[in-house]
Amino acid sequence: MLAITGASGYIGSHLLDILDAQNLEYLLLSRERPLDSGLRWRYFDFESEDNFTLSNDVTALVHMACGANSRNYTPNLELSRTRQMLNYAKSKKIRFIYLSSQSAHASKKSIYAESKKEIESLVLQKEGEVIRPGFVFGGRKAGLYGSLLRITLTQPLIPKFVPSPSIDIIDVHDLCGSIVNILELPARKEREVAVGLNFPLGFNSFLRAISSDAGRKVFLPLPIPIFAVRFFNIALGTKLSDKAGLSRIMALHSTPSISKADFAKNKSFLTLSRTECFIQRHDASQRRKLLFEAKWLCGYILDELPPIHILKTYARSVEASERSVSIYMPSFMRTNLALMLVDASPKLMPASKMLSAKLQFASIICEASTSGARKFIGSTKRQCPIKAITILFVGTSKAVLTSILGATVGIFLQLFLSND
Amino acid sequence: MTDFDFIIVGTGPAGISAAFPLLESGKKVLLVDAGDEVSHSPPEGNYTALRFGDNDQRKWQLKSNLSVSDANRSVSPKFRTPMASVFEKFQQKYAISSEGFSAFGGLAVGGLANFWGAGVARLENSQLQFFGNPSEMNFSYDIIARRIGISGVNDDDLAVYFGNEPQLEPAVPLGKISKSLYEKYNKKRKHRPDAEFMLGRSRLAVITKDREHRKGCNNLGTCLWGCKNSAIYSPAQDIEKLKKKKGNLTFLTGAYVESIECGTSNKPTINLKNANGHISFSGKKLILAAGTLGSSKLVLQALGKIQTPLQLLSNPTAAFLLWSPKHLGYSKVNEFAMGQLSFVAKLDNKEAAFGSLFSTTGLPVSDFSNRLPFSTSQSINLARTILSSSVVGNVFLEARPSETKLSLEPDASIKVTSFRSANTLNDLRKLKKRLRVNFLKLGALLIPNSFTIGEPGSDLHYSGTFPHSKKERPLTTSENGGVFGIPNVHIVDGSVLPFLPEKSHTFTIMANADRISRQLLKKQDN
Repeated sequence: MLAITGASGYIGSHLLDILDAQNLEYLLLSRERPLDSGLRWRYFDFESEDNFTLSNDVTALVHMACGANSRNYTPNLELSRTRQMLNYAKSKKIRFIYLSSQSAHASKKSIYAESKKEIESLVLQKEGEVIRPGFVFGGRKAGLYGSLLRITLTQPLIPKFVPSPSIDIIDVHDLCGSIVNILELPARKEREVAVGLNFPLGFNSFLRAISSDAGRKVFLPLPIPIFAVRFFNIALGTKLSDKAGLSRIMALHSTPSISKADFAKNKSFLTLSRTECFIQRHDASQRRKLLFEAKWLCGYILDELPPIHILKTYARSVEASERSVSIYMPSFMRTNLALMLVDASPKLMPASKMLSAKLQFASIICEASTSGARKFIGSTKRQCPIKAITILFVGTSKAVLTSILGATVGIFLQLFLSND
Repeated sequence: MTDFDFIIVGTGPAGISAAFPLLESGKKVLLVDAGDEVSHSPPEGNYTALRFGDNDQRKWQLKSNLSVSDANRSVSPKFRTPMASVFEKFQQKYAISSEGFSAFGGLAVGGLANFWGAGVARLENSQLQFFGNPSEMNFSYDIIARRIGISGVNDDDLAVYFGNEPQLEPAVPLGKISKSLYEKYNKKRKHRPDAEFMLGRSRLAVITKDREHRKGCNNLGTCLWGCKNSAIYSPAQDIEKLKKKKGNLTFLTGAYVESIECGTSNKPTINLKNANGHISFSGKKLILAAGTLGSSKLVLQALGKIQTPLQLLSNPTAAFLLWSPKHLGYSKVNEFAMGQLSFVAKLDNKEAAFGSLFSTTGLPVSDFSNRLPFSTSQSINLARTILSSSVVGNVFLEARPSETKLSLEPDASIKVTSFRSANTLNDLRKLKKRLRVNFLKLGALLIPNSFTIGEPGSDLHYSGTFPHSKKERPLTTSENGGVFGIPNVHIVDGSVLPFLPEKSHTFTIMANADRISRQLLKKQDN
C-alpha cells in the first residue's frame, strides 16, 4: 500500500483522483482528519516530535508535503523530520519517493528552492528517489498555478516580464500519472527523474495561454523589467521578497531546462499527453510569432518585404533548433532603425545576444534566395571606381556612426527586448 | 560467409586507389562502404544566373536541417550545404567525442573526398623513404595522375614544389584578381627572386578537357555545391569503372563495419551491419581505408587497446581575406571557385607554409558580413563591396606531433583531444606578418582581423595514427601498411602517414594505397 504526505495540496489532490480511479489503496498522512471517514488516515505534522511510524502493509511512501506551509516552519525542522522518515523507510525497506521541483536547481534560489535542494540531497544520500517536475499547471486552480491564474484573470493588465524566462511545463494530471507509472516500475538505479516536456516555453506566452484557456479574451501587457524585479528582490531582503513572490520569479529565470538526454531516457514511462496537447493548442501562436519575427528580421536584412518561402524556412529551422522561443519587441519599436541600433550595440542582455545569433542565421537563409542575390551580390555590372570608393567611404562612415549611436541609444532599447 | 581474395573497407580516395590494381589483376574483391551513394545533385547552370534566377536555390545551397547554431560556428560553409549530412551520419555512427578538435569523417561513397579541395602535390624523394622504395611511389603517383586527371603548369615557381607531372592538362583560367597578382609576382621575381615567398598556379585534380563521362571545367562557379561537369575528381566517379575491370567486384553500400577480427588460419573477418542485419565476411587479406578515424577505431578494437592514446597529426591552419583595392568596383563573375593560385612562404626556421587563393564568387557573403563589427545590414553592404575585389586564402603548416591525441574509450567511442601549442600559435602569427608583407608587395592588402586560425580538425586534414615504420613497433604499420599484431590486415588510408606535410596530401594517400596494393599482389604471386 502507498502512504502519501501532502495529499491535500494542489498536486496531492490530483494524485488521489488517479489512485481512486485505478482502485489503488492508500494511507493519508496529514494534520487534519479527512472529511471522508472511509479513507485511511494517520496523523502527520512536521512540528510533531513523535516517532514516525507506519503500518506494516505500507510498501511505498510518496512525500510531497511542503514544510514551508507549516505555521512555525524552519528549514531545519523539515530537514530533521524528513531524515526521521527516511531512516524509518530504510529500516522497513519502504520505497521513499520525494517530490521536489526543477527550481531546486536554479542558480538564484528562493527559500522554498533552497529547502527542496537540501532535502533532495538527503533523500538521495539515504537511497530514496526524487521526482523533479517542471512548472506544474492545469487542473484545479490551486498552488502557484492557481495564484498566477487568479492574477491574470482579475487584473486589467497581464504581466509581461522583460526578458521572459523560459520554462519546462507539465500538466498536473500528467505529473500524477507519471508518479503512478514510476511507482509501478521497480526502483531504478538512477534515482532522479525530471518530469516535464522538453520544450522551453516563454513564461509570458505561458501566462497568456493559461488565461486564454480560462476564458480571457483581451490581453493588455504590463511590461515588468526583470532588472526591476532583481532590484526589489535585493532591496526587500530574502524574507520579504519571498513573501512577495519575487524570489520565485528570479528562480524561474535561472532554472535550468530539462536536458534532452534526461528527457529521452525517461520518456518511455512518463505520461505527457495533456501537456503535449496544451503545447499543440498554443503552438500555432508560437509559429505565428516566429513568422512575424522572420518578417521583421529578414525584412531588415533584405531591405524589402521577404518572400513567404524565406519566412517559412526561417520559422521551421528556428523551431527545430534548441532555443526555439521567439523574440519579443514592442510593436512601436519594430522599425528597421530601432533594430539597426540594437543590432549595432554591444550585446549585454541574453535576449539581445539571441537576437544577434538569429540575425546571423537569418542572413544565411536570406542570402540563399533571389532577393538575397540582389542584396548580397548587388549589381553584376562593373562600377566606376570613384563611385565604388564613395560607396565604401559612405558605407563605413554610416556603419561607424550607427555603432556609436548603438552604444548609447541601442543599449537602452535592448531593455525592451525579451524572449517570448 | 563468402571467401574473397581482398576485402576493402571504405570507398574514399585510398579505398578506390587500392581497388584498381587488385581488380586489374583479376582478384575477387569485396568493397564495403558504410554510407550511401551521394544522392545530392549539383546545381545546373552558372553561379550568377542561378543566384538571380533560381527560386529554389535554397535546396542546393543549404542543408534541410540547418539550425541557428550552424550559423555561429566558424567552420567552412561546406558544413551548411546539403552534402553535410555525410558528416552528421559519421558522427552518429562512430560515437566520437572531442575536446578542442572538430572530428569529421565522411560516411558516403567517396568518403571525405566529397569535400576535397582537389589540391595535388608529390612528396620529395627524401620524404618518400618511409614508403618503401621511392621509385615505387613515383610509379604509383604517375598511375593515379593519369586516372584522376591533373591540371596546372609545369614551368612556374611552384612547379618543382608540386613535383613534375608528365601529363598535365592546361590550368583552369585565372580570375581577374588572381591574374593581376600572378602577373605582378612574375614581373617582380625576374628582377629579385625571393626564395622565402613563392607564388604559382595551383596544381589540381580538376580536368580542363573532356574525358569519358567527365567534362572539362567551364567556370560555372558552383564548385562549393558540387560540379555538374564532374570536372573535379571524386572517387565516387570511379565506382562504375571498377565494375568493368577484369576481376570480380562485389560492392556493398550502407554496410557499417562494426569490428574486424583475425579468424582461423590468420584469415581476417569483418563483422558488418546493414539494413538486413549482421553479416560477416572473410578474405585472404583485409585492406582498411575507412579514413583515419574509422580505421583507427577498428584496429584499436581488434588489438584491445582501450584508453591507449595515439598521436593524431593535424595541420595548423588559418584563413584570411586579401583585398585588391585596384579592383574595387569589379562585379562578381563566374569563375573557378577552388584554388587558382598557391603560395609557399618560409618561416624563420625555414619551415614552409603552403596555401591557396580562392575566388570569392561562389562563397556566401554572410560568412564575411557576420564577422564584421557593425550592424548586420550595413555589414552586408560593406562585405559585398569589398568581396568583389578580394580573394580568400587558406594556409597550412606541417602537423606538429603531440598536439592531438586519439583513444578508444571503454564504451567503444573514440575520443580526440587537441590543443594548439604556444609555438604553433606564434608561428601562425609570424606567418600572418610574412603574408601581409609579401602580398602587399603584389598590391593586395591582408584585411586586419580577417586572419582566422582554424580549430584543429576543421580543415579535415588529419592522419598518422598508425604510421609506417621501418622497425616492428607496437601501434605502427609496416611499409606495406601491415598492422603489427594482426596478420593480413593492412591500412592504406591517411592513418599510415608518418608525417603530415603542409602541402596537399590526398594525392600521396592515393598513390600509397596503389603502391601497397601492388606490393601485396607481388607478395601473393611470389
